[in-house]
Amino acid sequence: MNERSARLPLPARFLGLMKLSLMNLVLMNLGLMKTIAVVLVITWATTAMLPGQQINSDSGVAAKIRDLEYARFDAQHRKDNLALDAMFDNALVWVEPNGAQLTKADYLANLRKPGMNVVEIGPESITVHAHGTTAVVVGIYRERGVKDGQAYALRARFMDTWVFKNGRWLCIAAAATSSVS
Amino acid sequence: MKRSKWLIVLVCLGLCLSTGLGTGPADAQDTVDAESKVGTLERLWGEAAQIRDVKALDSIFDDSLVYVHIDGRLLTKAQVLADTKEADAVDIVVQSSIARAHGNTVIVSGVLQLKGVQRGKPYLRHGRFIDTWVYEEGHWLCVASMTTAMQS
Repeated sequence: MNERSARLPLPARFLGLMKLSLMNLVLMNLGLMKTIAVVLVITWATTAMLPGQQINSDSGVAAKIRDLEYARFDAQHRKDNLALDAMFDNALVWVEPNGAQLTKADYLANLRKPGMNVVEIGPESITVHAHGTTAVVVGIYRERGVKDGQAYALRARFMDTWVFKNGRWLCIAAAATSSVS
Repeated sequence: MKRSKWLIVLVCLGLCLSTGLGTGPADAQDTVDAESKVGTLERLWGEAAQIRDVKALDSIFDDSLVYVHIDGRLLTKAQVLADTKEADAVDIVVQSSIARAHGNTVIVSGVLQLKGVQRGKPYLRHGRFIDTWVYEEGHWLCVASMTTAMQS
């Protein structure tokens, strides 16, 4: 697995706590030296979590993204547009294995189209490459179903990009190709 | 005394914010800048690929680049660079592209045309690509690229 070390997102609640701590310090009228020491510790703790900094192996991000990928395939199978809507960013760029590009709305509408029945869909392999608040997933999936009365089977390579936005991971791009060499 | 404390608190807070939040695009102007910078890098990439400038490509790609070729091959950065060196001449024309920033990540999607000769046979292919760029340590680097062959 080529999981790279990753950067942790700076949680908004941490900033909130920091602000509260600073206010408390002033309100409690502590000594100047003590104030300096505590503020420096907070500064150090905050900068240790900078988005630009590499923190050793983030298996947590990889595990989270892998779970989301499994959930995505499951939602596709169940035609669960509500779940997919929550996983996809509104600016999602989706490329079908035949090269057609779809928006999020196009994709969700297509999934519910009459005449489209996905009998089985699921990943064969998933590899997550984490880059802090961005994660790239590459893998292979298999799909079979019936489209407009015609049975089909597909084995495709896919690549998805996820970003951590407003406290959650969202898929911003997804592409697949039926050429798997 | 109280003023000194406030001053220290404000300086430290400013330090935290300037170093912590200034690493990626945060506002509309940053978003426009990021999309513009990445757009320029995409053009450089096209030019470098055309003239097989492996050194330029090396600086554009992240070391952990994942690349899916139009023929479906999954390649590492080293393999892409080796492929560029060894491949027959290819004429690459980006017919359309659009960049979209998501904080310190930019997605570029578009259509390209590949024209060349392979094993003595001329070919013309169209592909839909998606490139993922990440702002890392003061640079925009391409971390992933995938081209899907467009079926007519």
